[in-house]
Amino acid sequence: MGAVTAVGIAGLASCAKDAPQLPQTLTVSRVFVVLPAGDSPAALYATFTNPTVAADTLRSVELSTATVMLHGAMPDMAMLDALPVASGATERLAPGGRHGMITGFGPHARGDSLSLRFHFAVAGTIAVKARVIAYADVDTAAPPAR
Amino acid sequence: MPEITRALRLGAIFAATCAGLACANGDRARAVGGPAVPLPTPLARPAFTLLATDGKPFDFAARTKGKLTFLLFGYTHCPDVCPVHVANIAAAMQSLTFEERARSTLVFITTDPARDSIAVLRRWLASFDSTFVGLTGSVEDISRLAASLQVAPAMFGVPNADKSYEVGHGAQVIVWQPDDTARFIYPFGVRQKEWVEALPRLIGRAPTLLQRIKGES
Repeated sequence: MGAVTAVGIAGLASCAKDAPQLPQTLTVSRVFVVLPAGDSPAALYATFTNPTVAADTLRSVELSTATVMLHGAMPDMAMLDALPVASGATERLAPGGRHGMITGFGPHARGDSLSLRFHFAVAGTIAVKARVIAYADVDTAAPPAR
Repeated sequence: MPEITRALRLGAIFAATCAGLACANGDRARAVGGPAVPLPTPLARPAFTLLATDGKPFDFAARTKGKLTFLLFGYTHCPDVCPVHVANIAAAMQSLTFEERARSTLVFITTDPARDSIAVLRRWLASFDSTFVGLTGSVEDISRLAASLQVAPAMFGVPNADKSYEVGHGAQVIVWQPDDTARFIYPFGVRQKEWVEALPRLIGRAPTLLQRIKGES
């Protein structure tokens, strides 16, 4: 019994030593702003990964030239005050799911790069560059939330 | 809000129905390709007339007769589901031959006629494909039509601080094939590749020799 326990502990130690070091901060990645169709608002999609032990909350998103609102998924797509990102969780703003809506979007073009600031309750402000894409690009850039 | 409750209930019933049907008729759906959901009863082209973006009445059954027709409800202030759906279909339709494309159309019916004037609708659709048809009418007529097609009717959200508002609606695409019968609906989330795979079968393209040899007809 003692030998079994020792082997188990040694195995655990080995795993811990070989385990890749996870980033210890919340990250924002795969950020895309979709060019508006006609007179409509633009869409914002992004991925939030929280490897920390603390639950976090996205409180707002800032784009200097426009207003960004968070909306829920179908069917009602109601406006959200915040987006929780639990410890160890990955959350997405994705087509058909929760998403960002940008009004007052300026004259941008496909391929442009925009600076966005994501304000989190715990992680603070994270500045990210977003790529501007067209709706035809969404299928590959930001798969649906299903 | 009773309207919202009713719409949600209809949507839930429809979603549950779709899920059940998908299980029962999965083989038939796979035969057409993509994540199609078979309708319990094939649906003839509905007879209705709404106002098109050229300012003239559009008789749906007469004007789309014999064409592969995609019909969906939505609104142009939607930044997410509606434009993604339309963009994916538009992209997939580029895989059709010239002749097949001429026998295909997409009809978008606004659930938000107050904001979607015919000019707004036209500009929005033109950003995807200038041949797509936009239709408008009264909220009552459009909701009645949606319900008759088992699509959850529009439900209007509480206005935001800037007076903007969201409009919930059924997000499925109903597809009428060239024989003027709809057998499938496509829920939101269908990828471009899945549309591209489904289109030849939906339009009735004859299988290639290689497909016949492989038994893919």
